[in-house]
Amino acid sequence: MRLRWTLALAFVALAVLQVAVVVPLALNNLSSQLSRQQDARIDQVMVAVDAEAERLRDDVRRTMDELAQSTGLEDVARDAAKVPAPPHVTRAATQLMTPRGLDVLALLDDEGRTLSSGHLPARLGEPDDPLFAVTRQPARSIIALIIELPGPDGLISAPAVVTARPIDYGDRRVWAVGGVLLTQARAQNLHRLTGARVEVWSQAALFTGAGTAAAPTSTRVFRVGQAAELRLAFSRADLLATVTEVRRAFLILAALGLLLSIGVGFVVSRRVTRPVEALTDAARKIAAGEPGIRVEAKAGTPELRALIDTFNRMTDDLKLATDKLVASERIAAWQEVARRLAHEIKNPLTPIRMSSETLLAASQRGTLDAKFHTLFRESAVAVLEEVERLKRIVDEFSQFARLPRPTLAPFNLSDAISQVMSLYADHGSLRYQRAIAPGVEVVGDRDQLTQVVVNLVKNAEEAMATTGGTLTVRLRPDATLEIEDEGPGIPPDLLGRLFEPYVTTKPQGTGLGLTIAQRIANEHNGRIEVQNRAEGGARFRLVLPQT
Amino acid sequence: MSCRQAHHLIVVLVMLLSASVFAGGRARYGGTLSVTAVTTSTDLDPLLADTPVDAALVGLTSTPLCRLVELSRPTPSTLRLTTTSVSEVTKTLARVRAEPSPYRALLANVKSISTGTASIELALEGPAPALEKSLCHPALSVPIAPYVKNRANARHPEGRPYPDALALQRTDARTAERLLSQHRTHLVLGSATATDAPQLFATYVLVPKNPALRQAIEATTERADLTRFFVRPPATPMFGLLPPALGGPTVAPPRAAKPPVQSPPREVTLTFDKSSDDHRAIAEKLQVKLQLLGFRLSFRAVTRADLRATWAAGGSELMLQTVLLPPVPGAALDVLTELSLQGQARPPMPPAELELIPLCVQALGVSTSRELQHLTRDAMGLPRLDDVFLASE
Repeated sequence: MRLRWTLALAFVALAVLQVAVVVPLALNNLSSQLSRQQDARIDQVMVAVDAEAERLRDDVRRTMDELAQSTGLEDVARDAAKVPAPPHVTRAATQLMTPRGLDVLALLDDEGRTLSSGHLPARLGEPDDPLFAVTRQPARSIIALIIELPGPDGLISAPAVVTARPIDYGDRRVWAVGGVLLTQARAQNLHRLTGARVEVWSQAALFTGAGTAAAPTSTRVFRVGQAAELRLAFSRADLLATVTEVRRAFLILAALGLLLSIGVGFVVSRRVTRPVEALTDAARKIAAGEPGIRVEAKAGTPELRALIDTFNRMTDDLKLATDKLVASERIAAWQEVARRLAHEIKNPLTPIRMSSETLLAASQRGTLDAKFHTLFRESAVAVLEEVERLKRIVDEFSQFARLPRPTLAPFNLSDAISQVMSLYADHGSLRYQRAIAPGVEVVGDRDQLTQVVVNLVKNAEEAMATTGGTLTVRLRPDATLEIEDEGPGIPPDLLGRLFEPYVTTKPQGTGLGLTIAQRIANEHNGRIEVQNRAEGGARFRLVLPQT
Repeated sequence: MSCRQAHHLIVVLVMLLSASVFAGGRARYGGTLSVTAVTTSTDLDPLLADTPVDAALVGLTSTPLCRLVELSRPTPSTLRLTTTSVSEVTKTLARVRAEPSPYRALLANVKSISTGTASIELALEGPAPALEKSLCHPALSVPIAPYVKNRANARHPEGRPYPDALALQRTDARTAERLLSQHRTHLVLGSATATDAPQLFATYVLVPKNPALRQAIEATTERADLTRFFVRPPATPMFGLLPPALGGPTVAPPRAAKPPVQSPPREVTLTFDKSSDDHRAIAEKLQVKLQLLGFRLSFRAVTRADLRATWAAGGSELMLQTVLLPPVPGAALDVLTELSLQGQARPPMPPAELELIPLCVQALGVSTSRELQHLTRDAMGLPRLDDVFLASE
């Protein structure tokens, strides 16, 4: 991946990371902050609920105090023992209860028998143990308990808060136990006060309720003694809506920030990587052998500009050094060429000189007899052979020096090799074996590759010139050409440098044939491999890229 | 036309005809008799007139069968009803015999009914000596305006201020008392005034096939308290199947032993008439009492018609029923037997024990203004307005 994209992605990742970390943290913080605020508000409301409950208890106490002082109850106490009980006794609770806003009122004798019951008239004459138990509690204490009421379908249990007051008449005592029910109306009042859904639970069952609270809710429990509990469900829907709204705004801002970060990251990475890419291109060109490449240091950070300056200085130095090296190598190459040429030319010159000196000496001796003619002919032949040799040497050097750049075009390698091999026929002890896969297409210079094939075949022929054998030419479908001979093989010490110029195993070779073949192969993005065969002989393999 | 609409029409006709008769017969010296009924009930079906006030209201719009016919016995086992309203009387007899109600027992001894042009003959099983009196029961009322005939016979002496119209209103007890004290009504039906009229509106608990529950009710029910505190007076505790007015005991028998407390508590449904405050009060008292013995009562308050239907279907494990007993003990026992059978066919022999627990018996309490004179009652303690007149104060 390019550095520019890597940097851009790094910027994006950093932005995403920030968004992923910061936004949830901020939202959680905000949510918990709002939640704490609402909890605090609920706490305040619950304090108000507590105050309302205390006010209710005070009302009950005050009402029962007033009731205990009423003449009506005094009359009840006076006549409680009469049998049968007079109507003003049996109906007293009903008549006294309603005007005072009480929901519960029972008048009990000192044994707990009901003299009159306002909330459950049918209790008349019966014991009412739960209410009588209230008379055993500390004076003026408010007790929460479950009482029974007549319902449309039978008795129902209902939570109530009651208190007891004794009414004494002489040595006779009557108890008035009264209070209020936790009714739907009271739940409604509490709902209006708190805004919460108010439920009155008693004996693990919902007794009544008022109001609604949109989900989700936060529930607080207010215990009314052991008898009941008020469950106030405060809606958190508003809080949730606020958090949702803030979250949406946060996410929008985060998305915008993310987009901005991506844009900025891309621009910054481009500014940073442009000089680096220029340096990379320049280095690649230098590596490809293009000397004297310079990078413009118009933009970028000071560090990058310094790097570019250093790079430019380095390339300048490198160009200078390369030029010097090339010059010295050229000189060395010319020296080598001169040495080789001198060597190659010097070798024929000695026979030529000797032949010429022999002829000159023979001519100075006298008559040109038949012996002279023989000598003359032999000397002339020797000179011509050496001249021919010199010509051949000059041709090869000339060919090596003037090898043109290949003209690449697609062509059928199978046809080309078949055409070359048609020129060869078995002779003497040398036989040709062909295994050419048809239809192998390559891109290359047909003439130069034909030259390679000819060179390799000629090389193999020369290797088997004395031994004879089978020369195998094999073209595989993957454009790999193998030429195998059954000659002596290649000495191991030459295997590594066989393609260097002037390296040859043949007394008459110039050492340029395989070098030329290798150069052509390289310029076709191919290569030539050589190895000794286990069964004897050598195998040359020309590997070309397939189309 | 529904039964209720028919009754309303009849009330109007009563008033119109009364006025016309008065206008044609004698000078208009009467005025309007104002009657106030302490009830909310508007159902005036004679077969459902189980409470004193409702029975009295039926008496204002219908005529007891015995007053529409002349009774004679051609043979001991034949009762001949000579009447000008053969069709209406026949229909009433047929309805009472056909519809399931305790009052079907009033005609239990009637084998067949044959109708003539001016008379109806009832073939009886045996002599049925009480049948003549039973025919005065409000359940056998014929929907014919009661006072037309009586006004038309012009037997009232001239010069008395007989009312020439009747105005009826329904209200609660307190309002009725206020109306009476303010001289805005002449007659209050259903007041709490004590009376010496026979108390025949008897209330029972039906406890079919549940000995434990029956024992619990018998052991805990204090009829005197129930009568004194929970039902509308005038009322009397009933210690036997028949009320004191029909020779029933007037002293409480020894209290039955309390059964063991049910554990776990047993759920029992009590069905009663939701239009009756007395029923609800009794139900709540029973509930409190039975709760102490482990019976958890739940209520099923239904209309009187539904109560009758439930009774006929035998579909309740506990039920409050009030019936107006005929003023003859034998006929009353027949009605109670029918009540106990809950619509089933009568067995050849009466059952040894009826599945009824008597609670209390009531009469119609009546309060009158001082100007209302000559108010009489029939054999069931229901008022007869035939001869009343409005005296000037």
